[in-house]
Amino acid sequence: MADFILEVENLKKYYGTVKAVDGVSFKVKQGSIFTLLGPNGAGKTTTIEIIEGLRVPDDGRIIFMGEEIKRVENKQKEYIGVSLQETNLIPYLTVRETLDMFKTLFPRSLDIDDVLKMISLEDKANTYIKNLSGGQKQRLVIGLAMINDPLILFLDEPTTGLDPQARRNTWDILLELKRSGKTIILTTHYMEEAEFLSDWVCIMDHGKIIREGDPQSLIRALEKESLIEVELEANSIMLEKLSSAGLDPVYDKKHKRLLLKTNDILTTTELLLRLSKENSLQIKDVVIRQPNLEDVFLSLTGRSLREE
Amino acid sequence: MRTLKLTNYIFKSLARDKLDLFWLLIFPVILLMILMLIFPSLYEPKNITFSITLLSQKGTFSEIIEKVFGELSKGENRIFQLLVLPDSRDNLIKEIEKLKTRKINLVVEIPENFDTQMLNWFMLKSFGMTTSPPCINIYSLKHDVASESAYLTVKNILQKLELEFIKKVGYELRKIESEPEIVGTRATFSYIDFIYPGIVIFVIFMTGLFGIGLDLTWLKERGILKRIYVTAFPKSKFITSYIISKLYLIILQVTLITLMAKFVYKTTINPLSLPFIGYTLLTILCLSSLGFFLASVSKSTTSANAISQILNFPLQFLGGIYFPVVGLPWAIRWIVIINPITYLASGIRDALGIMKSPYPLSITIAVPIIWTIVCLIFTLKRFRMEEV
Repeated sequence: MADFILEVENLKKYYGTVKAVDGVSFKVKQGSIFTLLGPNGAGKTTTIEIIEGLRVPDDGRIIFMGEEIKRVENKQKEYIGVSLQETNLIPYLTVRETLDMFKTLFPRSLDIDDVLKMISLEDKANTYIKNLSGGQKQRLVIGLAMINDPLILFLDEPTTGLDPQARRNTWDILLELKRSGKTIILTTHYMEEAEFLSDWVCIMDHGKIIREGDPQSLIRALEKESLIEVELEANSIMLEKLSSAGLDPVYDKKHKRLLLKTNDILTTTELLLRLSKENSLQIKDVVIRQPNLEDVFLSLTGRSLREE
Repeated sequence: MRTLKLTNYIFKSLARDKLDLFWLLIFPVILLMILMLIFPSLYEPKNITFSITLLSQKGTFSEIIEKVFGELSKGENRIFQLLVLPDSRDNLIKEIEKLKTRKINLVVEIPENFDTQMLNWFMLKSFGMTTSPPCINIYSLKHDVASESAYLTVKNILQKLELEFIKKVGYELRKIESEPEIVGTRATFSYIDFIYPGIVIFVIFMTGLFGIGLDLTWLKERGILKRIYVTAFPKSKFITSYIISKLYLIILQVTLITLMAKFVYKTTINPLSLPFIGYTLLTILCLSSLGFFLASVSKSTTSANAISQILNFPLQFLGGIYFPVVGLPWAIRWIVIINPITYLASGIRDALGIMKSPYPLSITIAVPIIWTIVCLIFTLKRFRMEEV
């Protein structure tokens, strides 16, 4: 089998004048977690739905397991598992019945008890779907994506709307799946999720991939060791002085947050405190942290992932 | 095998939804009970004056009958509005024409040589010989409640008259056999026989509109169809599973209604008769297609609900399910004409001999088939499982 289980070249999907996907190309290594990261409307779901066979591309090539395909047919669908952005299930079936129903949709499948164990829903096997919590439903959705023992799993924002605990549980399942050799294609707008799970991240914006790489190298490319986030009402004098000190300040007026990139935390903090005293500005909060993918996106687009 | 397993799960999910069960299974039974409480009494005529024509002969017996009918046509509480004419072929043709156009309710014909036949019959009876009694021909209008009631009234009067004859001639007069020559085939009206096929159409209509149209839209809106679409299961097999699951439901509905009609209301209709099965299958085909059409045009359950309500009431009430729809103003008659239920209801009733269809049999089959074809073509063009 090819080293890359999936290759996409120059994929395009336009809706009138809206370029939902505009020349997207990427390669997915077998056994890796590949993430499309971007704000809502960046084109992640459209891209993934084209590969899943839900949408027809206007242009581009898809090479699936070394074979170029026009669109995903039932032959390829046997090898893929899908979790859609929003999946509702039939409320009056139990967890076991739902898994069994989806099992009938594939010629080959895993044992239901094994899947229940993998998604930690053994004790909910006979519970109706309508009585499951959001996190339990999401685990079941991932279980349904796994029922046919796929080679590739497409997970479209699998943790959106989940509480931190449920999100963490989902991450554990995904890492376990990766360990078992599955390839996972993930879309998310949570930078911490992409950073924690991904082997390779493609950052998307306005239908294009604007940067790609492994999360650490993308962050390292910022060439800043640390970030200082300050909550205060900054004035222009202060911002000018910070700029002249070579700190390249980014100030979010709406949220009254000042972001400083620095390789010398101590000196920058001293300067910040001195300037706030001189300008009689009250610092309400200070966070010193390492840069993350959010900062990568911010540096590339000037916008926050969460703004969208 | 996989298709049937999926069918069972689709059916199971429906069977567990109490609301669906009520509307699709219990409600039609309740509706049948309500209709049977209300309508049969409305079909019983009260204080009605029947317009009848008596085609009479000269002779003793004929004159007695003429006199009796004449007495019943006098006064404020008269039963008949009577026209007495001499019996002749021309008069008979003219009066039957009047009957067909509902200008009169009944034609009573005392045939030629009635008196002679009566006398002969008495003579032969007195010598212990058996022979057919003479006949009075009564012409009534098929499936016309007033005409049927007039017939029953005349029959009762003639039976009373027999007793008078016995008193007068001293011989046993078994009967003056009234032989209704009905313009059609059925002599009595039974509301359960009328409504039973209607309710069968109604339950299939409800399943088509709500059990298929609304349900498919709901599955589409919630992304369940999209989720099934991305599996390796062929779309055609899924549709087959879905249709079979709805057939399970329809079989259950029709069985329940049939048991009620047969054992509680004593319908004379045989549900295993070929016309009944044939028209029921045509109804399933046509009204299920309507459900698929609804799912194809609806973007959401809200719009599906709105469209189904728009379709539901006119198609249901102007389809002749509950009562015959005749003589309506043109403002609403067009709905009757384009309504597939009109043809299904009148077709099935005609085929079962309950009520004459105003449309030829071929039309009652062709119109629902055209509806089916149009709906299915539209569905094939528009319906997308992957759409949300």
